[in-house]
Amino acid sequence: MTQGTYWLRWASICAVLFNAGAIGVHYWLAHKSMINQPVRPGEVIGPITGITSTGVTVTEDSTNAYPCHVIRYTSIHCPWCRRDEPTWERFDETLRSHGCDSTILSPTGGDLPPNAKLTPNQRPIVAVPVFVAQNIDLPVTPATLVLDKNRKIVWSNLGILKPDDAQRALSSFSK
Amino acid sequence: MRIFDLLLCLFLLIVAGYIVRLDVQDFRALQRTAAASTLPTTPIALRFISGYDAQAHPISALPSGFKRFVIFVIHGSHFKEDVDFWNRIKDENTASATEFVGVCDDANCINSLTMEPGKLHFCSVVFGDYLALRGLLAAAAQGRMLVVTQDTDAIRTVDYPKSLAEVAGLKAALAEGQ
Repeated sequence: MTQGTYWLRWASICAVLFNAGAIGVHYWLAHKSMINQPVRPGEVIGPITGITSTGVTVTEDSTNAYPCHVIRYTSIHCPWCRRDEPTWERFDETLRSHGCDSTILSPTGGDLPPNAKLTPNQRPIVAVPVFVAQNIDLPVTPATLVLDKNRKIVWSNLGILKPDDAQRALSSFSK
Repeated sequence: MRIFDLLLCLFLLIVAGYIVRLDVQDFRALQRTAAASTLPTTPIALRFISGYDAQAHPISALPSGFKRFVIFVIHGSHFKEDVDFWNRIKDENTASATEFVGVCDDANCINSLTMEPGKLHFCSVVFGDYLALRGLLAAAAQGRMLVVTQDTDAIRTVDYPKSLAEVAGLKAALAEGQ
């Protein structure tokens, strides 16, 4: 075996091992990411019904009128949610100006941010029926979901929002 | 032949480099999500509710004056059987410091309950805190239900009795936690 063939053989073995390792890590990360993100684009979730802080009952009919829906899972006890509040407000305004309604949900009714207002297209929900809790698995605060008219998740984000996320969410409708 | 081997090797190394780059990006994204979010995991008691007390009056919080609450799921698919079963348990335990709280699991149950809340001899819940309900569902999936001490909000799980014969076991489990 010549010196050149010897190095080529070792380089080939290293390349194959390198590939196998990288692909293994990629699958592990993808699996971990799937576990961390139970709310994935493409999934269909039912409407978030319940009662608001003022005692108004939110029914399926009250959300059906909107062509898209934003769901925000947040808590006053979560430091990242407080930090994310200005970006979230801009995100929410942008999506609502495009016709969406938004539903704000908290781990407990007492965790809702004080600035969450009750308007026809923005609903802070303090309590939900069991089937809503069953249908939607929100593991962390803050979490933001955007759903189309058929309540299919078209965009989701766990953690704090980035300034251009509103545009990304809007562009996901055209995909 | 040598040049072909060399190109193949180079191609494999480039592919590996590309996948490693993707891995690094994915790992950073995962780290960012984990660092910029809070995981609410502690089980919590039901605080914000909408339902009915044992006298069929609408309530927005669990009633006071009880030592503990046994919270379980009422299944809309066999609403009548569940209600009859828990009515009997409640009737046999009227003197105890325990209140039984049934939480509706579907729209059929909610409709039946809102039409005739007086059918139930115990408290019922139509709407509740998201995280508390997820905790109840997780317990129910394992054939268990929640016992919440009113003063301390301490939560534990006990087996869901499948028949009246198993109620003695429930009483013993409740007595253990005193």
